[in-house]
Amino acid sequence: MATPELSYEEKLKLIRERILAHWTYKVGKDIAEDIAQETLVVLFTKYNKVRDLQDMIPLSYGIAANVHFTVVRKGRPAREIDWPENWEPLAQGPNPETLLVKKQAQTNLTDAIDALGRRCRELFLLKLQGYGYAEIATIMDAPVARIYVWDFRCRRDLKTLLGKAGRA
Amino acid sequence: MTPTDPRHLIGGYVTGTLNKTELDYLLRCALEDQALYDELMDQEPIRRQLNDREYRRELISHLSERLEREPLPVLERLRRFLHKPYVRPVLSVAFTVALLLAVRQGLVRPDTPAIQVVLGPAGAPALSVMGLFETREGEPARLREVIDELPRRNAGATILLDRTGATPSYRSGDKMRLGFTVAEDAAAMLIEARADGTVVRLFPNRLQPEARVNKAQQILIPPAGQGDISVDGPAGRRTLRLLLFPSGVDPLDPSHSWASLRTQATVTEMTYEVTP
Repeated sequence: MATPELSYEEKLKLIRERILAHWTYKVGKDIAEDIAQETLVVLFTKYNKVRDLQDMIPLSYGIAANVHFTVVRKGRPAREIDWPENWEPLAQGPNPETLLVKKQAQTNLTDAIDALGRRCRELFLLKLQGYGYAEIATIMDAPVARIYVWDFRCRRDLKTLLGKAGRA
Repeated sequence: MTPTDPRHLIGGYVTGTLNKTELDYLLRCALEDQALYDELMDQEPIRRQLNDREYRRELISHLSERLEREPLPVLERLRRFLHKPYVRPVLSVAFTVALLLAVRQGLVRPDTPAIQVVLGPAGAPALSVMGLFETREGEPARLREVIDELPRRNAGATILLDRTGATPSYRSGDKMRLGFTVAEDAAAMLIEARADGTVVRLFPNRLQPEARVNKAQQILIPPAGQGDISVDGPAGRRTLRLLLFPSGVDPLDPSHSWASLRTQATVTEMTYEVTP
């Protein structure tokens, strides 16, 4: 199904709409407006060469998450954020704090996956190994539609477990 | 090829195993669907962690080891076995054959609900193959004698076919349902003479073992709920003969000679055509 290619401006407009709605639900309209605005500014000024949706959407999420962290957790308005020259969203820098946070997040994720049922763990492993759904269906002796259902349930359970780990 | 439901791709997005076409399709859909976008963004932190190659390798190794240590539960093994493409047809055939044999051996009555459910309307041909139209010892010779009996009209006895016309026509393999009605209580026997000279008794049969029929009762062969007969055998003209005896006479009893029975019988005849 061929869909017309979106222009860069159309992509930015749609990304802004999605970010605004996504963060409005989480933090309220005023802060969401700030987050969406600041994200678009950074995306347009710092990452103007990034034009592919595959990169733009995850990048916009990273920027929005960072803006949210600064605005909500540090209580500073969005316009006062100082973006480092070589800032990368959730960068894997040598900063010990970053490394520690990253390591903790990985441990939480491993523990949550471990807490899932055997079927979910097997499904997760096969996906990590790069198998497609049709291949997984053959390996696990189940119809593809059932694999989709299992995948959805496993992701939902994983999210719940990670939520518990985050609160702990 | 892109699937119609982009939600099916979220799992692959999280583990980073989508190809470029799938990824483009998913993200394009996410831009136009807020719920899908929210779902993707909820999974984004996990995706980022799994993008770390070192961690991903560790996780794969950890999960592989754990799954190797942990054997498949019995129910899961059974589920997987039953899902194999060849297992269900083989089991179904084995079960049906076992059931047919049970019917033939008289262990299960053919009119039980279980048989009707398992075999369904399409079960009649299978039952026919397994001997719906039974043949008793010495019967072929006797039936040949019966078929030569001249028709003697019995007012009120009618042979019914599911096709109309003076000589209804069927093609080999067609579904067929036949029956008859009688005006008075009687013992009935329906036989069919085929073009190759063979004679088959259609009633009584394994599913309808009683020859006695009541007046105005419509007898269907096979009985209702057992589907239709499949027309088979040689092509050509076939003659159906309904012989009615006084109620209480058992026309299948070999101890009675046909010579004594024939004097009591009335015969109704009908023909139909089978084309290849």
